[in-house]
Amino acid sequence: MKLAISLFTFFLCLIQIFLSKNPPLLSQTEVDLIEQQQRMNDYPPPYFRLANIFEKRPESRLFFKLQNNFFAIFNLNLLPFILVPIILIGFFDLIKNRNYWYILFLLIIPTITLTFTGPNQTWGNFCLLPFIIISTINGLFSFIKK
Amino acid sequence: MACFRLLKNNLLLLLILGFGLFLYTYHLSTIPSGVYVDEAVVGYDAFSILTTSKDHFGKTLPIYFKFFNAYTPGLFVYVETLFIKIFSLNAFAIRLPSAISMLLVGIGIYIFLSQHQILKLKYSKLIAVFIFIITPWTVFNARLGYETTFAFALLSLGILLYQKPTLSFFLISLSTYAGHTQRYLAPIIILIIYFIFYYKKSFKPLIFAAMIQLPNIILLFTPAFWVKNSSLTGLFFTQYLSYFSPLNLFNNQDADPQRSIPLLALFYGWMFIPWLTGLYCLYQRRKTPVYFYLICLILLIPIPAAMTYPSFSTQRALPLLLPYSIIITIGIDKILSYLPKLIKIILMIIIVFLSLGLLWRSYFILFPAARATAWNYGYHQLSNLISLNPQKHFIVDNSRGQPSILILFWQKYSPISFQKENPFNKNYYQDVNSVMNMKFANVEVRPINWQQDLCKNQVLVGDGLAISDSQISQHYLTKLFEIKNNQNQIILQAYETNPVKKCPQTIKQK
Repeated sequence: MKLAISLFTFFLCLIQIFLSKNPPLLSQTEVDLIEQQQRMNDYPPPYFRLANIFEKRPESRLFFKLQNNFFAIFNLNLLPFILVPIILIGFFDLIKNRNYWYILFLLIIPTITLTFTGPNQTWGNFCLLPFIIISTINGLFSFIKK
Repeated sequence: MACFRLLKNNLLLLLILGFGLFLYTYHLSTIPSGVYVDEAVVGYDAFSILTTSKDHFGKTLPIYFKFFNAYTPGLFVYVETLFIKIFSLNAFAIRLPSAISMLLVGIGIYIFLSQHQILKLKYSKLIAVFIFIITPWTVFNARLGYETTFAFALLSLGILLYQKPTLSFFLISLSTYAGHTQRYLAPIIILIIYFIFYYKKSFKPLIFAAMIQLPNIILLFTPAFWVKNSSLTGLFFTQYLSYFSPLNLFNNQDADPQRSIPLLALFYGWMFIPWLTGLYCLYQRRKTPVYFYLICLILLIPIPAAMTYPSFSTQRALPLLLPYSIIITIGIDKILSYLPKLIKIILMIIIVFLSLGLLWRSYFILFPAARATAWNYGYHQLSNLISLNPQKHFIVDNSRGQPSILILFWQKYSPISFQKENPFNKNYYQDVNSVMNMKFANVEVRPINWQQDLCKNQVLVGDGLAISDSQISQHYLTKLFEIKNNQNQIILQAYETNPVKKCPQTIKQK
């Protein structure tokens, strides 16, 4: 069962990567370049080197891009209000019961996938769907037990 | 001797607080650039109270200050009079009370964590205070000059000192005289504390807290008390959820540019992991009273903010900063307790340098330039230019702002003279109409009247939208000066009229 769900989620992640139409992580639009130049102009002259590190270096740009992509996944307003506490409790119960296999394959690997592929996917972040379903069921069981 | 021992035992805490004081007062007069209208009105009213015992509308020692029809609880204004007395009316004096307020909350967090066995590691309390001090949400609010931070401090100290119920309820009740949000939160929080910790024990702290509310109860039956209720909204559940969304807390800035730091959210991105870990710890230990207390605070504090427009107001939800900071600390403590000592030290050094680097970049470099217009930069220069030209008459356009209070603030215009020139009617708490147009010295603040104003010798002042290029050529206006921001954009421009050319008939008649 565990292996089947994990393989299924892994397969979903591959489809997510394949279907992703987002531009490469380090690409910049004209607007991005203008804003970058504006920010660099705001640094005082003694700090131009730091300006280059923070604004222009590919490592910095990659860091900020990955951060934006990561948090775009956790937009709670995409979920029905009533499900959020149930999913959270289901997730906490997975941790409490040491279901690390599920957490790794249902949450961590899809999150890493979506962080690198980016938000605004054509069919949404469907590789996280198994995690949402399992956590919701787990959360509902916790409520019923108590 | 006892004092020396106290200093020695708390040396690290004092160093952290000293760093906090430096962070909150470094270039305090110039960052944020300009003085926002809400800061100016609080500062000028404090100056007016100090000089005349009346606000600038002429009301003697009001409980709520009319300001821009907000009828804001006025305790902070009275506190500011002390700072203005010492430092005079300027940006530093009006912002310093907020800096001190945040440092006091840091001390409160240290005391709270010392009294409870929440944290495993010895230095976690100090980490808690340090993390709180450098959090972007804290830094932003520690460096502004209106009432929200002071109100947050009073409420937070009341929450943290709950083990002394009389003091706790006193502080929480008092916070209702400092901020609007606290008026709704204070009764909820007092009842939470009472029912969790003091149920079926003494009623006295509750009675004492209720007695402090007498002035509020008297004003409950005036329109001034309810003036903020016009922003109630029906989108409650969506807005409520937004105060728990990691996207809003750790990545996105506030949509209002005046309330945000460029490219920095309320918390640093790395704080998401300890925040989630802290929530898990809270869930695990939810039956323990102090953890249950924290859970109640997290669930109930966003309610008043979620009931009002705009969605996700970082100002109205400021009280959430306290429980979230404690949760993040619990998470950090939990994570660090699993790591070997060397990894702990390396990780903390990386996190501290990363956080301070991001803060320096976003707040001290980008913020002054990018948010200058939002913070009303340019009015200090305008006030100086008006003072240098006392013989000229200025019409300052107020179609998109409240420039009158900014000019009054920067000129330190005599409140006695202003009250004489702009008498307000006696129904201070009944008349909730806005007072937009004002006149004092050689300045009139009102919309430009393109029919009448051009036929008098005067100077028209406005932003880029107030006076267009076609109007300049059509009405024979001559540029007197312009004020630009750091990005070379025009903020304000002033033009002299030419009645001889524009209104020759009127001149002939005269």
